[in-house]
Amino acid sequence: MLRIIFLFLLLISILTQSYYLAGALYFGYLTWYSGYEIVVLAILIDGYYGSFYTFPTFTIVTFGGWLFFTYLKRLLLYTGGNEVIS
Amino acid sequence: MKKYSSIMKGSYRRTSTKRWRVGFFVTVIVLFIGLIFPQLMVAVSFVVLYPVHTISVWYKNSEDIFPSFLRSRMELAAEIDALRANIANQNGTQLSIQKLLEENQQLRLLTELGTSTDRVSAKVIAQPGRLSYDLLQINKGSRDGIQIGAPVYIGIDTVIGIVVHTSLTYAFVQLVTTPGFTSTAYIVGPNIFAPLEGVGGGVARVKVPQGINLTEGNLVLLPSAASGVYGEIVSIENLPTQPEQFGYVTPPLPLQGILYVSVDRYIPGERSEAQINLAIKESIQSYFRLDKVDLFVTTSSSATGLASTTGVATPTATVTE
Repeated sequence: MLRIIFLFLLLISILTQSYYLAGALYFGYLTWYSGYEIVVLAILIDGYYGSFYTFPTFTIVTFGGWLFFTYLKRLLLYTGGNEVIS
Repeated sequence: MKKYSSIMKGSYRRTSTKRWRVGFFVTVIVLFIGLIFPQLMVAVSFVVLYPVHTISVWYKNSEDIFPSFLRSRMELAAEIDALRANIANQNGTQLSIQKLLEENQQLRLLTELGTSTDRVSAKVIAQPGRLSYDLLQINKGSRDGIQIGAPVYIGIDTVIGIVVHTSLTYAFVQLVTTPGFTSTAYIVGPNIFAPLEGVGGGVARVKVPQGINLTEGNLVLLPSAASGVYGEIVSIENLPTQPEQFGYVTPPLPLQGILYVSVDRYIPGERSEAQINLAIKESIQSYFRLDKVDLFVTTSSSATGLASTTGVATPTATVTE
């Protein structure tokens, strides 16, 4: 539920041009959840602003960020006993 | 934090790699479709984001109480920020204007002095803060007639130092306040001669025996210079256990505020006691004299009788009958 509220707030803050809040929520979501839905959100926002007519930068950047943070989490989640902590 | 000991590194890595692959392929396919059919992506986005779009439009444009309140608050906060920046700018501008006015006054004074052939006007290139030594650097040198030993003034008669080094285009001035500078000063008030030595940092001090009535505000003259007013005593150090007391003297302008100076073309020669006494007398008299004052007399008749006024005015004389 918290995740959905997080995403909704992110979406609202981007559409209302509250970019500082949006940036904080965006990086917070990427580091905390690293869910693929943020890439879907980026695709929708790029579609909303018509970026597919030129180049969907936000989608590419978000996808890169998602890959990076997912990989980073994978590196950090192992213990010495070869176990995964979540 | 939970420990999933059953999920080992290998299995998690496989799941994660699969997630990556799926994510990668989905993204690439969506991007591909989006770049080929941008209208389709726009339409899908619009449909999906329509509720959010409606909310954002309501927030940005609605006249309802809640969004209006939020918007007004943000606008007022932005206006306060803008006004604060404006005030900060204006304060800076006021300071600049004040500095320019001061510079302008110094230049006007130098223009008057420039008509005299005895002085050379010079701009201060560097003050002690910018130099390794407690010296002033000026932009006129031997090519302009500056000689070593010539007194340097601010204003008409405030001597602040002597030229100690000249090159073709610049010169260095040793200040009266430079440590090691010693001179004989005359202190108006107790009316005595006393040794004056530089302390540094724009301050010099006179040393007088205990019992002499030294007070703050006493004028200090350097009689060896042409009309050598130097400054006034701003602080007194008087310890009863010491055989002497010190009066600290500063020039009327702080060192960093000295922008222009004038330099005597001639080095002061030896003076007799009578000449020194005369110079001191003139300096003291000039201190009490207001220049450029003319007498005016106004006489007028009125219904109540005759009235006459006598007073002073600047800059021109007026006589009214």
